[in-house]
Amino acid sequence: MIKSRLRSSVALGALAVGLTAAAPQVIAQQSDYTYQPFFDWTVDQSRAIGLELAAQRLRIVMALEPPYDDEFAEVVENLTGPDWQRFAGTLAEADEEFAEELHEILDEIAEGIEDGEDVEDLVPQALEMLAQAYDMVIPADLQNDTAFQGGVMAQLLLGEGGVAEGLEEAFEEEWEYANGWAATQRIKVLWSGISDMAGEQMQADVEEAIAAFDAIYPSPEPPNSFAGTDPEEAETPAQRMVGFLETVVDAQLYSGRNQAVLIAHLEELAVTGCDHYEAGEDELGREVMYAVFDHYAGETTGLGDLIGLFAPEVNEEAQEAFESLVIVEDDDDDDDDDDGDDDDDDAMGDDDDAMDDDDDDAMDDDDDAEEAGDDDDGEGDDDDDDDDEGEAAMGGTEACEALVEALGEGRAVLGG
Amino acid sequence: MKKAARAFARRRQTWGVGLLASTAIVSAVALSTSAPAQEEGGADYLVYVANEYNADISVIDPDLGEVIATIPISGRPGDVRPRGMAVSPDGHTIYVSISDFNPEFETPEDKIVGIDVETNEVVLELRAGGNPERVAISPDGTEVWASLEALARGAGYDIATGTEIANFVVGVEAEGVAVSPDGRWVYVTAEATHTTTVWDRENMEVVTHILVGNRPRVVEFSPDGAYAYVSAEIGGTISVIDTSTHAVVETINLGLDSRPVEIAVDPNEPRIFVAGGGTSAVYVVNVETYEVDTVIREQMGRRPWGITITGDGSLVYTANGLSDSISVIDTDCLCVIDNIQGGRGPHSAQIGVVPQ
Repeated sequence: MIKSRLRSSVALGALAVGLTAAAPQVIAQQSDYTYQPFFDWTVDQSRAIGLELAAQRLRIVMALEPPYDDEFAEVVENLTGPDWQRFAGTLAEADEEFAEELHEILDEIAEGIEDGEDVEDLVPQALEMLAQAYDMVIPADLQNDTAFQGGVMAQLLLGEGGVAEGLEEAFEEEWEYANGWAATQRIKVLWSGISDMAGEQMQADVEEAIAAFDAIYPSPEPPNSFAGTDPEEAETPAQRMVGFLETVVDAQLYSGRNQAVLIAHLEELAVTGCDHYEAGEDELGREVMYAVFDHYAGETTGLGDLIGLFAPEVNEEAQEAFESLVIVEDDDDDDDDDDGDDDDDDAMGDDDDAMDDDDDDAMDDDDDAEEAGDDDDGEGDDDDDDDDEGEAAMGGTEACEALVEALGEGRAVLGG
Repeated sequence: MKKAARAFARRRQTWGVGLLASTAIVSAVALSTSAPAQEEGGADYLVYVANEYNADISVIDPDLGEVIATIPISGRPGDVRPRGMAVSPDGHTIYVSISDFNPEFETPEDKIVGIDVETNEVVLELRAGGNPERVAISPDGTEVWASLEALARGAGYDIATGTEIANFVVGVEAEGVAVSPDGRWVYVTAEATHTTTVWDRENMEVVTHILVGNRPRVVEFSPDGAYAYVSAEIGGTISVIDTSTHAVVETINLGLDSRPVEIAVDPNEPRIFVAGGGTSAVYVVNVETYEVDTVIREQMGRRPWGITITGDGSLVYTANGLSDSISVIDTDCLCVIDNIQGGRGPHSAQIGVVPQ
C-alpha cells in the first residue's frame, strides 16, 4: 500500500531530463525500516529502472558530440535490449501503438549511433516519449512514493549501469564510464527531491558522497587511462549513500539481507511470471524475469553466488533458465569478443538477436510464446556464437518452470 | 601519566599467562615481559596503521600521540594498497596484506610483507597471488593465513620458507580471516556470498561454509576460542558462531544503519568493540547478553574501518578512512580521548611490541 507521506517534488516520470555445504543458519528477518520496496514492488522497481536506464543513455547521447565511439554504441544498444524489455509488455498493454512508436525511435537512435550517424535530433523526442511511458507504466502513487524513489536511487547507485558499476565496468568496457556519469547526474536530481527529509548531518554526508561521484565522473567521456584508479572507488561512497537513503526514506534498500526470505520471494514471483508465459503474455513474463534476475544475480544480493557455493548444480540450472528468459550480460564474453563486432554472445543470444526478436515480436505477444529466449537466428547467422549458444535455448514456459524449480531447490538449500 | 603509559602499567599488573588467544592478547603477553616505557625512554608498544591510498604504513607512538615514522610499501601509491594487518605472537612483527587494484591479474604487488617493529623495516615478503585482503597468524607464529579476494580462496603460507601450505575454496570476494586460539581452525569470510568458510588446519580440509549476515567483513575469535564473531556490514549484525559445532548460535543486531566492519575483542571483559565504518561510530557489544552497551560517536573520526585494542584492554585505536585519522578510545569511560592525524585512507591498525 502506498503511504501517507507521498511527495510530489521529484516525479520520477520527469524523464525529459560445490562443496561440503552444511545446512546454513538463517538470520532472523530484520525490520528496522518500515518499507521494503524491493519486496513490495519488485517488478515495478525493475520497470522503473529500465525506464531510468533508457533515459540515462539518451542523456549521454545528448552530452556527447558525434561521431560516437564504437564501444559507446554498445552501451546504447541496451536501449532496445534489457532496458526496453523491462517495461515493454506493460507499456504495450497500456498503449500498443505508442509502444511501437517508442521502440521504433529508440531503435533508430541505437542503430544510428552504430552507423555513425548524428541522431541528436531524435533524442529530445525519445526522452519525452520515455517520460510519457513512465507515466503509463509506473502508477502515479508509486512515482511519488519516497520509498519507491529510494529503491530507484539504490539501483542507480549500486546496480548495473549505475554509479558504482559504471567505474568498475569501465575497466573492461571503457564507455560504461558514461553510465556512471549519467547516473550521477540523475542521482543529484532525485536526491534534491528528498534531501529535506534528511537531517543536517546526513545531508552533509550525502553531499560529500555526491561530491565524490562528481570527482570521479567529471564528464561523460572516459579518461585516457584508469591507471591508479580503484575500480571500487565509486562503490564506497555509493554504499554509504544507500545506507543514508535507507534512513531517509525509512526503507530497506538491500533486498538480500535475508537470503532465505529473498529466494522464497523470488520463487513466488517467478510463478507469476510463468503464468504470463502460459497465457502467451511473454513480454509481461519477461518483465517479471528481469526483476527476479536482478535480485538473484545482482551485485548487492549475491544470492546466485551463495547458491553456487552451497549447491552449484542448482545455480547452474537457474543460470541456464535465465539465459533463456532475459539478456544475460556475461563478463566472461568480453575476452572472446573484444572486437565488439556482435555484442554479447551469451547463451541467450546477443543483444541484437534479442532486439531483432523485439522488432518482430515486441508487440506480438502471441508469437513469443514459444521463443521467449529462443532466438530464431541463433542457429543461422551467428556461426561464431555456437559455443555460447550451446544447447538449444528453452522456450519461455519451459525455462520459467525450470527456474521456479531451481529457486525452490535453492530455497530448500537455504533452509527456507 | 599519559594514557598509553598507564595502559602499559596496568597491563603489567593484570595480565596472566593463560590467555593465549587473539593476536591482541598474544601481543599483550609479549608486552608483559617488556620494560616500562618511562624507564626505557620510549613507548613499549607502537600502533601501526595501513594507509590504503598512500601505499604506506604509519607508525604511531602512543605516548606522543603522533606519527613517528612512515614505512613505504610500494613506489606506486594509488595503484598499490596495504589493507589487512596482523601481528606475530611475540608482537615483534607486523604483517600486512598488499595488493593492487587489478584483481584480474596476479602481479608482483600481491604479497604479504612483514615489518620488524624494532627497526620499522620490511624484513619479509611472501607471494600471495589473488589480491590478499586480510591476514592472520597461527598461534605458534609459523604460518600466515590470507583471504584471497579475487580468487575466492583462502591460503596459508609457511613464514620461514614462503611455501604455500594450503589453498582452498571459500565464498566469493573473500575478506576476513582468523586462526582460532588453539590453532585448529581457520575461518574466512566472503562478502558476496555472505558466508564464513571453516578450514580444518589439522586435517587440511574445508569443513563447511556457514551463512552469516549480509556482506560479512571480518571474523575474530573469543579469547577462549569457544566463539567466533563475524561482522556483517549490510546486515548490521554480529554473527556468533559456536566453534565446536561451526553453527551460528546468536545474531546480534546492531541496527541496519550500523555498518559494522572490524572487531576488537576485549581481553578482560566479555565485550567486543566494533568499528562502525560509514556510521562514524564504535559499537561496544556485550557478548554475554548480546546487547549493544554503548555507541561511541562523540569525537570519533570519520569512517572507522580498522580497530585494535591494547593488550591490557585499556585503549582502543580506530583507523578512520575518511578523516585520515586514528581515534583513541579509553575503555573505562568509553569515550574518545584523542584523535591522531594519520596518512591517507587508514584501513587497519595493529599493535606492535617494541623489543626491550
